[in-house]
Amino acid sequence: MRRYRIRDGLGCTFFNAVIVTSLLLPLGDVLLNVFRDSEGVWEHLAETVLFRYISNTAILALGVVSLTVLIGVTSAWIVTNYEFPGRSIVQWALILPLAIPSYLLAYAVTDFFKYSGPVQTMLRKTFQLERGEYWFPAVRSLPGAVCILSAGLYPYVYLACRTALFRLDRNMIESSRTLGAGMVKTFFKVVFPLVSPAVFAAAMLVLMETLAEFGAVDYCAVDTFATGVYRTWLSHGSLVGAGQLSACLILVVVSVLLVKRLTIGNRRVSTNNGASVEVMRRRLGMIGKFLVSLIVWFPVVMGFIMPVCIFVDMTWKNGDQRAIELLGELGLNSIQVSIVVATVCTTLSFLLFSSLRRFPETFNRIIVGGSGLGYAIPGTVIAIGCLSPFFFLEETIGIWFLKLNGQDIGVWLTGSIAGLVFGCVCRFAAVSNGMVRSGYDRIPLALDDASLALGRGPVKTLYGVHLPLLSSSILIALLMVFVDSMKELPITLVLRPFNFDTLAVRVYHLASDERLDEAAASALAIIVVGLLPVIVLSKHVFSNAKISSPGSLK
Amino acid sequence: MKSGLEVNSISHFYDKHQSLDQVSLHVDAGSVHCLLGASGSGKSTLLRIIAGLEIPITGEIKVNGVTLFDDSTNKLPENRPVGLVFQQYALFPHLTVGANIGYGIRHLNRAQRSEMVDKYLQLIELQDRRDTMPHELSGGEQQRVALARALCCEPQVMLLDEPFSNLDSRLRADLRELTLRLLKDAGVATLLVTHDPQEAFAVSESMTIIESGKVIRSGNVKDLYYQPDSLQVANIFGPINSFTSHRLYAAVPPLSGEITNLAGQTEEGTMLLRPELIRLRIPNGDANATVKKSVNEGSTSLLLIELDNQLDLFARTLNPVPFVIGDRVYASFS
Repeated sequence: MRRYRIRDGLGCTFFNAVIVTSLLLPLGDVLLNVFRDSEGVWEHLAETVLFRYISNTAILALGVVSLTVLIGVTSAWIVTNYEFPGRSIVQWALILPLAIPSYLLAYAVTDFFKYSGPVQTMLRKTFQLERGEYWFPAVRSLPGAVCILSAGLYPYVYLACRTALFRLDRNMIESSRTLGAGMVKTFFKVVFPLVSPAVFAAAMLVLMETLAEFGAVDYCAVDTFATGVYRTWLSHGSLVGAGQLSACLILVVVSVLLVKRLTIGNRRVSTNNGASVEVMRRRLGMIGKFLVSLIVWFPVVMGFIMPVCIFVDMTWKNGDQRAIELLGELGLNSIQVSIVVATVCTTLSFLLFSSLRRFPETFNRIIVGGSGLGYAIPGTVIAIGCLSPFFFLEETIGIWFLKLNGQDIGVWLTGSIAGLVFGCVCRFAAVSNGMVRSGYDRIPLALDDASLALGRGPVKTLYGVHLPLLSSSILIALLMVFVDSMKELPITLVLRPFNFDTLAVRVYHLASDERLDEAAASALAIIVVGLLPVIVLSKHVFSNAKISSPGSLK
Repeated sequence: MKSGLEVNSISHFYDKHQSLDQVSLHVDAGSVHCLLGASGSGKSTLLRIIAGLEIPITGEIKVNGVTLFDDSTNKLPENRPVGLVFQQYALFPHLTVGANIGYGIRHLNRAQRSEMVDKYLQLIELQDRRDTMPHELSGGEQQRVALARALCCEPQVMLLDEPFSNLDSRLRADLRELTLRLLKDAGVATLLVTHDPQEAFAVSESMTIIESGKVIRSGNVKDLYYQPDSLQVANIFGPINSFTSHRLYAAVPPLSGEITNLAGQTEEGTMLLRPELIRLRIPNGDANATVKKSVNEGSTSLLLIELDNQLDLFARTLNPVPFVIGDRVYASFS
């Protein structure tokens, strides 16, 4: 519907185009590398490691997706349909691993299962074994990485499946039953088709996260595209080679996005018009209860409780004065960057979506949609893609300044946190976009019309109606981006200024040096911060049944 | 210069689908005009265009002689002296009742504004709900607040988009009366959108019937009811008897003589008869029809009878109806 003359929206559309173009700058630069000469690095990579990158990435992705779907769907099905002690706790606890970045999980799991770790020590003591007398699977391996990533990422599938099951319209199941379909037929004809798009979408998200994963995979010494990009830049010193690898990765990501688009498109999974289904949960016998509890608690223990215990234990044993001082200093750095990133992202999302609300022109829609692409691009790729535009800008503007007033501004971009902030904003704009958009979706257009018809212009409507109604969405957006930036490793690693460490970077370096003990406090700090959005999220998801929107606003 | 609202030849497209085609209408200041049509006929679009929320391709809109829209002017919605009340009320959920009502007041200081809000709260009889949040109100109360909010801006034109359709029938009548009294007292030109012909009858003297974006008839309510110029218009007001004059002549003998006069006016073409013009009584051995169907409408019943010459007729009689399906009756014109 056209609510304005097209020329009224031109200014806004132009502004949006400028913002989104700059956000997509790193992506463009990476793709340009395909046409640049890597001076033999690409040929070298193709001869030596490229095949390994491809096969490792493929196996990792396939393994993680299958395992997360298995864990996620099973646990969602169990907590929805069976009654057992602790059900209400575990249905919430199952999403806790979201609070732990995969690289921290990798450090903890490795520590737990290593030769001198508690598991192997206990095995040796119990069975009176010596080194070499028994076989134990290596954690720092491809299968190990698959398990670690799955333990960290299954909550995406669990959440999607649980919400879809939860939001299934009871009327639909009841109509199916009254139409003569039994429980089995109802499951396959009604429940499964309604839930599967959600699971599929979540599996795609897991796939993207796996492709982008850097820290955990790097620690497990599995060579994938994401780690390859970093290594090519760091050890070969070849930005072009790294860029060309990145372009390959982007190709894969784009194919995944296309597959998702073609198969499920923008279809809404299920809308709940009636009562939420709180199905009669089946009661179980003693053995049943035990088995079911074992199945649902296992991922929680591996993905959250065990790593937290390990870090707490390490901090307890090794916490010294220096660690605490450092924690304060690094924490401050992390918080500083994260606050700036969160503010910039949320402000941008608000500006973009409020203009889209007013001018929902197709072109504007495409532009605003493009601002979220960064989230699909692995952090390492974004970081690499930022470098040459940064160098170019730094030099051009530096010379310009020098000519203008004889002032040398030096490395104003890569030498300050500005570059780091830009990289993070490119990647996390999608997060705040999502929150702001869903906030806007909940404000009926009739309220805009009412405000305008009551004589308030667009700007007054923006702060009189939109802002107050969006306040909770905006707060959540700030929180989500804040936490994502706190956890972000590869972008920080590449784009941070010299002598500027954050919690994530410190943990990464210490863990690489096998000095994890010293990093435990920092790791715990990251986890504690990461818990905040998980708690908000869980309240959001599990209290849906109780929220009833005021009738007049449906 | 005409007073009130003037809409001239408005055309509008949604994408490539034409939603309004050369629509014109006029509403006098202080009067109520009904816009009647099925859902999807373009009624709401026209209201949105008048309010400035949608921009037409061509046409002209004037209020009390001032142009709001034509080829060269387009006043923004916030600058039009037009109030709009929505079917879904659209109260701001984050503001109290008082703040909702005062939302559109401009150029007044705090005290004056508060006084104004109080005045309208009193008019809608919700004085004690000033600090209540909208979702705590009932549907009828919400609608009253929406109305007060629009009135508070002292508009010259008020657009009501099926504002009563979500309310139960008794509440609807009361609120409708209150609303229209307030609007008439304020000398506002009111355009009421409805798909319910009974409502249109109850509130206005003039109406425009719109279908698929075109005005198919406009004028005085009584004229439209008793002298519809097409079956389409006549059908809007409920079931009607229609037959070619040829068939009517065939139907004449069993009916009383008065019909000849009526029927004589249309030698050719279609003859339309409202069901209430047919009178039924218990026959004294002079039965000429059989009752085929009977629908209770509350105070009246709509009966389908079959005359002995196989012609079907609708007849409306006051309840209680002394006939059941299958009874023989005597039918005549009243």
